[in-house]
Amino acid sequence: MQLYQPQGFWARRKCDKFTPPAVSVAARSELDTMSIEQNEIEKIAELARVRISGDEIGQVTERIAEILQMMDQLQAVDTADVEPMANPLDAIQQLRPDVVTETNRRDAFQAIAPAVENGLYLVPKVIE
Amino acid sequence: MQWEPVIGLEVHLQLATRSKIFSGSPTTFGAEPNTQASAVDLAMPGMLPVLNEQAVCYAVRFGLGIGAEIGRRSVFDRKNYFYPDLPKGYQISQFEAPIVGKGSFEILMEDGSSRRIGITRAHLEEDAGKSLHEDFHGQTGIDLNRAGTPLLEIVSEPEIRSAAEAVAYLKALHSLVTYLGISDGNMSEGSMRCDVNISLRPVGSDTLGTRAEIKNVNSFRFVEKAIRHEIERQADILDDGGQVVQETRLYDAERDETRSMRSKEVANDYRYFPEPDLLPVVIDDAYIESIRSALPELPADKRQRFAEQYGLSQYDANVLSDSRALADYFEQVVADCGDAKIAANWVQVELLGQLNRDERSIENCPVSAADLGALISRILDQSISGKMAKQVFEAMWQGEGSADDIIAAKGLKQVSDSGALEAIVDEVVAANSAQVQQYLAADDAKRKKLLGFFVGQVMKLSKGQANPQMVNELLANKLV
Amino acid sequence: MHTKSVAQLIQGLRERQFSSAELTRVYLDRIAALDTRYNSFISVDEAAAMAAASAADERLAAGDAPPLTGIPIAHKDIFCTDGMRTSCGSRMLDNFVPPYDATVVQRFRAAGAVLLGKTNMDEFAMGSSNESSFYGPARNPWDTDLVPGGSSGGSAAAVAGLLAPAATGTDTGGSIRQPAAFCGITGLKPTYGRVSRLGMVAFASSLDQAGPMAHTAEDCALLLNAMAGHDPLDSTSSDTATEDYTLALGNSLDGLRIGLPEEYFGDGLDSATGDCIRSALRELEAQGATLVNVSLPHAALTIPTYYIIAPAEASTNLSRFDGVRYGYRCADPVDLHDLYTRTRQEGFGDEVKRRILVGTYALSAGYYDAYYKKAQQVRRLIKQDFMACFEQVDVIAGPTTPGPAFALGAKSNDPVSMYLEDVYTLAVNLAGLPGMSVPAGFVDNKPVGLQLIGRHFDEARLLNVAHRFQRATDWHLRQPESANGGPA
Repeated sequence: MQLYQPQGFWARRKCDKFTPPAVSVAARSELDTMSIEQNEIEKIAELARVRISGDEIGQVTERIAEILQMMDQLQAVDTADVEPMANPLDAIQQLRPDVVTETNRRDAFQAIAPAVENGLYLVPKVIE
Repeated sequence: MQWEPVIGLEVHLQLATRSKIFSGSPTTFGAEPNTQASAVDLAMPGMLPVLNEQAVCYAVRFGLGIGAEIGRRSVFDRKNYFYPDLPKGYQISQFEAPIVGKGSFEILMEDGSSRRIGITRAHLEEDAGKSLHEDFHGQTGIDLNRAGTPLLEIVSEPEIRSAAEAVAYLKALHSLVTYLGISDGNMSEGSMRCDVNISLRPVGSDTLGTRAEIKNVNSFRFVEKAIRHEIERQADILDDGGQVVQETRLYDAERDETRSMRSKEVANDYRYFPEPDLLPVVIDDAYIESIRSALPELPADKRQRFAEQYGLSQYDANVLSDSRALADYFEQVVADCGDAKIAANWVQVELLGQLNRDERSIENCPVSAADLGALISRILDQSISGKMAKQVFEAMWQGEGSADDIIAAKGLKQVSDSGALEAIVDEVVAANSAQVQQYLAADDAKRKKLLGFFVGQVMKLSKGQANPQMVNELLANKLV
Repeated sequence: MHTKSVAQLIQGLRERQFSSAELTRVYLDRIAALDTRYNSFISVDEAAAMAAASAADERLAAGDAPPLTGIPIAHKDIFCTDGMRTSCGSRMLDNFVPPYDATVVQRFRAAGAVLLGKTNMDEFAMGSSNESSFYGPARNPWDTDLVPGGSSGGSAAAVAGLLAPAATGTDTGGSIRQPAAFCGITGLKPTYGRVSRLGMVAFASSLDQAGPMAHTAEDCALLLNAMAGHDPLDSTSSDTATEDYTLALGNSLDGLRIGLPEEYFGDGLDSATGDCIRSALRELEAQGATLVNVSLPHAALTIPTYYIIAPAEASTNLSRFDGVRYGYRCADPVDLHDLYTRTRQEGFGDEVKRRILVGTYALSAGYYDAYYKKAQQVRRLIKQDFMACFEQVDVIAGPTTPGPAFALGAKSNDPVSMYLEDVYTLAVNLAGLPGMSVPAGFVDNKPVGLQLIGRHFDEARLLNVAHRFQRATDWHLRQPESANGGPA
């Protein structure tokens, strides 16, 4: 059993807001020392369809690297038998009866659309 | 080298719900663009999905129909990608915990043989909208009416070995889902869309080759052609010592070829994670039992019952149970006329023949099962001959009325009055004394043949209306 | 009129001391006169407000008016309002006029409330200072060089500046409680699922929750009565029965056990702020409550846990902003890719883009288990910490924030230090619990908030504790000089 010690972000920031909690530490993951490269940010930005200009990319990468470093603390927590919690109440889905409740509101919806024609939303040509 | 194709199919089945899977919009086909797209379907800010109970019920019904394990706690996930026909930028689907697990069903080959194909899983998801590529000043138009239509994605095990088997699989699946009443199975309206995964391996090998995926093949005929073409393409590559590239290909029906969809080849990372706007769907025993108890008889059971209960050949039983509507029609005819074999014959030969000629479906058949049953009853009670019955059926098909009406109107009723028939028989015997002598001198075998001459003469005089059986009896009595 | 609580205004309207039209006029005039200082509103529709006020006066005259009839309120600009711009503090939605109401908005309309306008906020509710708003930051009425907190900073500033008697906010990681603390007002984040999320622009679906912001706990109870309830159109909305949240307000605190988590009183807590909190706790003790030391062992992990889950969910919730169906669209896109990437580059601000990237990364292939799944597991551990505490105590108390409001610009270029501001508030959202911030003193004329955390669906008890505290103290009655025409 190891004790959790501030490391990475916490150590570097000298941020000891908390008494370090005594949690057992799982095998050290290689993610611990993970940092992010600029080309990874470019890949992620492409996945998220967000353009980042050339003069911003360095700073964006730096900021995100800091954030990720902060997140890496979680790697030290042993969660082997813990069920992930997607909903804080662990509630279950209620079902809706199969009834048509919506009416045609195309005019109202398309009045706020950037580009429509013949009832269709327009986008630059999609190449298949 | 001899290659063995390994084929798996992913079928996107549109479920026959009235409203969409996550919104109260109608699912009717063919409406004006975007008139059936609500705020939820359009992914307006703040809109949230709520799951349609009928979609869950249909998925469970399918699972029970293929003997599958039902996911007791199934989870919806977000599949993230950008595309204009996907308004939220993610599709709500199921990834790790699908509602239907492993199962199987029987497929029937053309030669009447059958085999079972395994189903890996089936999961619920929402459909995307449509991109219309006709030219709007060089732009693409987006119609989101279809967005949010409930789909059941049915994934087969890679157990299919030929184009013919793939078609048999799809036909059996089509029959199954329409029996279950969970889909209209209308392929031309996109209710059943198919992606095909194909790889080849040397015959005898049990490792899998590199596969190609053919997207969106939308008819039985195209599936067969697309697969044959793709098998040939891959075999050519492998025979030349090349390697098949793992990729998505699109079947072009007009050119009868598959081609690479390079635009889709950008490395996709769908970032699946549990949809936080929906909660796990928990299905208990009571719910499953309530659906199980209401399951209709399924095609395989019906085939077997038809063969046993009605004494039909396996082939006839297969044809007659092909669709639930046809099977129901057949059973109604049997109930009305009481003779399964004649009913089976009439339904298969006359009825299906006419339907084919007119390109109609059984659902739109102009002759009801009750009317056909009544017609067959007239053959059985000897009111008309089988030959006349075909004439009557023809008239019924044209909408001229019921069997009895037509028989009366056309004066087709058989003459079974023994006095009238005897007079005709006497006339024939008197007019053909030479043949009578010949008959009397002949042995039993020859007599049988000669009797036909007399019957023919009687039928001719009676304009075909004489009851053949009575004529036979009368002649046998006179010619002694 | 503008210094009265909602409860007092309800009484005044019913006793015909003033009409809703007169009352609404007062607030509209104050907004026109003073909001240049606070920048707390993004949109105000005077004509619509006055029309609603007249309609409310008619209902009041007819005699069957629901409780909030004629009460002016402001909605955070995250709630969709039919026919009124809903910007979410973003250029992306600067031109967005929804053709529908959020359930919360609908409920307030049905309850007779008069909508004054839509309040400023951090862009898409991502921020703790209101500085990420496309419309410029709202300012703290106690000192306009200070941030009002975020993300519901506009709502907090409007209420503190007496430009609205009450407002709605949303709280994903502290966005009601932290600005309430910074601006010296009372704010309640209800249990996850207590208030419908339908029509509320989503930030992080499993954390977002709407709640009331007002001067007093009693006012929060009156507002919660209108807001709370099951919504069949929000699958995550709870069907647990609601109650009249005003009924238990006056209950005695005798025998109440209040847990003080040691992790919330550590070295990170500003000492003067800590003093305010401790004296507030002594007041509760004097009223009969017992203070119990408790521990939340995973408290140190709430920041990384939250800053994985929230951006992950946000990154996909914000995918719908693509320039196709509504909102901002970049000029002259050359192709589809350009439409997407440039619309999102130009439409989103830096913090929003940063969180989209972080969230996309956390969900991407190869990292999902290490980040998102891991965070959801730790999230359960964090919830279990609270559940264990609630076996010993009825309410948990501590500071809302590590210190009072900070200066505008002080942290705006350092996202990580900004995230640390949320250290005491995040866990409540991760565990889905109800939490409140109650004015509990001042440090250098800057308000300090006492945080109260309850069991799931135990809002009535939190309001009870806060109300009893407010009957014995006057922190919630103090008014910033700037709101009375004094220097800003």
